[in-house]
Amino acid sequence: MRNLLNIFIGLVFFSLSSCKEDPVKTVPDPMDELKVTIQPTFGSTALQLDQTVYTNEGYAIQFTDIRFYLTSLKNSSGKQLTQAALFDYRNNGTALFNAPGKPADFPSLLGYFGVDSSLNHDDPTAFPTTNPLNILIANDMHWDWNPGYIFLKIEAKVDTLTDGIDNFNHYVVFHVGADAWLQPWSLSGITWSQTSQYLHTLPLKLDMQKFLQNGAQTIDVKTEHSSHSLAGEEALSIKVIQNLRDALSPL
Amino acid sequence: MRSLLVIFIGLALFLSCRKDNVGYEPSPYELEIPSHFPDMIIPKDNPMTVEGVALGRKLFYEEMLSGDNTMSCASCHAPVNSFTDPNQFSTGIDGIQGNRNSMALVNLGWQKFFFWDGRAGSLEQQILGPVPNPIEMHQSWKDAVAKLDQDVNYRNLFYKAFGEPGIDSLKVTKAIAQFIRTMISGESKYDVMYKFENSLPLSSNDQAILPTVTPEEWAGYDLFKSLNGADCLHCHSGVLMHINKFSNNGMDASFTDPGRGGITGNPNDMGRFKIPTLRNIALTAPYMHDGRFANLDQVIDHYSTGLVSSPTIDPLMEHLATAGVQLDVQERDLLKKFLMTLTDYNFVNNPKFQDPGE
Ligand code: HEC
Ligand code: HEC
Repeated sequence: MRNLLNIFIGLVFFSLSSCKEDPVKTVPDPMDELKVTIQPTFGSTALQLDQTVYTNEGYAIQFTDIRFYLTSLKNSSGKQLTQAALFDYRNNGTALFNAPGKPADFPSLLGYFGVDSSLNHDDPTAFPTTNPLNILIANDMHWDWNPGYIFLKIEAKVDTLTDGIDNFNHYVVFHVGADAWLQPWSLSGITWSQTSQYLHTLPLKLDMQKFLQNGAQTIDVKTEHSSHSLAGEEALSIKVIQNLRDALSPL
Repeated sequence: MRSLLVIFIGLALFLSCRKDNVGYEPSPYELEIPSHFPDMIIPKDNPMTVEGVALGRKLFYEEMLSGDNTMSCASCHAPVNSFTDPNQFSTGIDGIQGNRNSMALVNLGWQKFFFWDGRAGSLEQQILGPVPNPIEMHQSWKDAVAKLDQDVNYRNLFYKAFGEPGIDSLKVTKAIAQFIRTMISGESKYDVMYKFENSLPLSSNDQAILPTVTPEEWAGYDLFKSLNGADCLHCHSGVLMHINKFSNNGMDASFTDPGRGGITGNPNDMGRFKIPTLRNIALTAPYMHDGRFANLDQVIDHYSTGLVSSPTIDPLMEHLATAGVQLDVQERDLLKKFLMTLTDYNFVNNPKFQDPGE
């Protein structure tokens, strides 16, 4: 009887371990992925938020917010890499986006600096929760009153007195949106650098010195310090978005 | 003997091929998300279940969670006040008062940080706070759990909610978090105005409400949104009526409460607080993190003429140079009428959110 019991117990254990279903393999096939990053700079040196730098006019300036959208990014034959990407230096650092894609398919990128008019007036709550156009990610990059997305937000604190005493009491607020200011954006001859077996990266820079001083198109933050893209602010709004677009280039 | 062996083998085989995990599973809870709201992201480790929500609701009103069995979450988050406390500072079980005004619990499932200083990154984490807090419910989690564990009803409810026996603080917070995620407010007059303005589909109920929106309420809405009017939209906007940000709205030149700065230690964060939703704002007096304003008139006066400068004031308080947006008496009245449209009586009276009793 003892024997039998032993056999029984043994059998139960054996069977419990033997009859389990094999776990299904869940590792997906590896996919090629492309990643774009943006390093803000001031001239040739890396720029942090809240760091003090000096404008050509000699003012001390601290950028406190740098955000903008790039949308409808496609190659020249219309294959889309990503619908929307949000650069948000404060919250996401230098990351712009990751998307499935092969480097050979995207030697160039064409799209918009700002939110494509075909997306700009959609319900911001209806995009998937991972899409940067969803209101939970867009957050305050959307205007109820326009209605539509804010294409870019540049905010800064400036000390306009060159007296050696820190007093950053002059605020710069550029919020540019509305279809009229949408800018085409493109990049060709892209060299994707291989970061790991399936990941290729394109590092870009955003030169905030060039943003303020784009050839003849300069922004004097002492006098030109606020735009919400309202009537009467057209000249500054267009300058702000064009300068920021032109400040973006390969690192 | 032989036949016994056969029986045993048979039994063993039978036992062995039973599917694992048969038995009890809680039933999934379908959230009723209004059509003009974004999807809610539910944490993977705390899926919504019917039993979890029911338990969370009971726990929300459970006085055993406090040291002397007199105080529940609802003591400082009362339904009639959109789940906040009408007192400037709440009094804990030991008669001690904090220095912050309680917060309305509304649409929290869409938020990313909690408390006035954002020190909790999830609802579950937030709910761990009040029970042991000496100025609130002042009871160790160990004692709170032991009390619940003595109650056979709770032992069953926890089993039903989580599909396994045992009670612990994490399960308590998960259940209450599930309940709080169901507390959705999206049926105010403002919701109809918002949908109409944004050309979103109106239900037949909305169609009936639309003509009852008065010209004053529409005018107040325009003022609220206008950059040259009340200029409120930078911070309080969209379906959720707030943005996710810490901001200093110009109440003090120096700070007795460091707000966000107390958490990050960053001088740029001093005096910044979580921007609260304005939903049900007419029900949630007094106002601001320290409850300094007793009514909406005082709030409107603050934004109109009371702004005070400080190094961390939000640059979007754009009318600082004139100490505020300078609304005249009539405009103040219109703005207040608009703020009243944010009240959602279906929300505060929803029987699903009231004390289940027993
Ligand atoms: C003694 C009064 C009191 C009790 C009891 C109390 N709370 Fe609170 N609650 C507050 C106060 C005050 C704040 C704001 C505190 C702060 O910011 O430091 C708050 C904040 C919150 C928040 C943050 C809301 C937001 O928008 O960030 C949540 C959620 C919350 N409480 C839930 C609960 C739950 C759940 C319970 C029961 C377990 C509870 N509270 C018990 C007074 C109380
Ligand atoms: C720059 C951002 C900003 C703007 C613009 C703004 N607010 Fe606020 N609002 C806040 C912040 C931050 C708080 C919380 C401040 C605190 O408690 O210290 C707040 C709090 C409130 C509260 C109190 C909420 C509560 O639960 O206690 C009301 C009411 C309010 N604001 C209404 C308005 C109105 C009306 C306007 C337009 C006249 C407006 N706000 C403009 C940032 C802003």
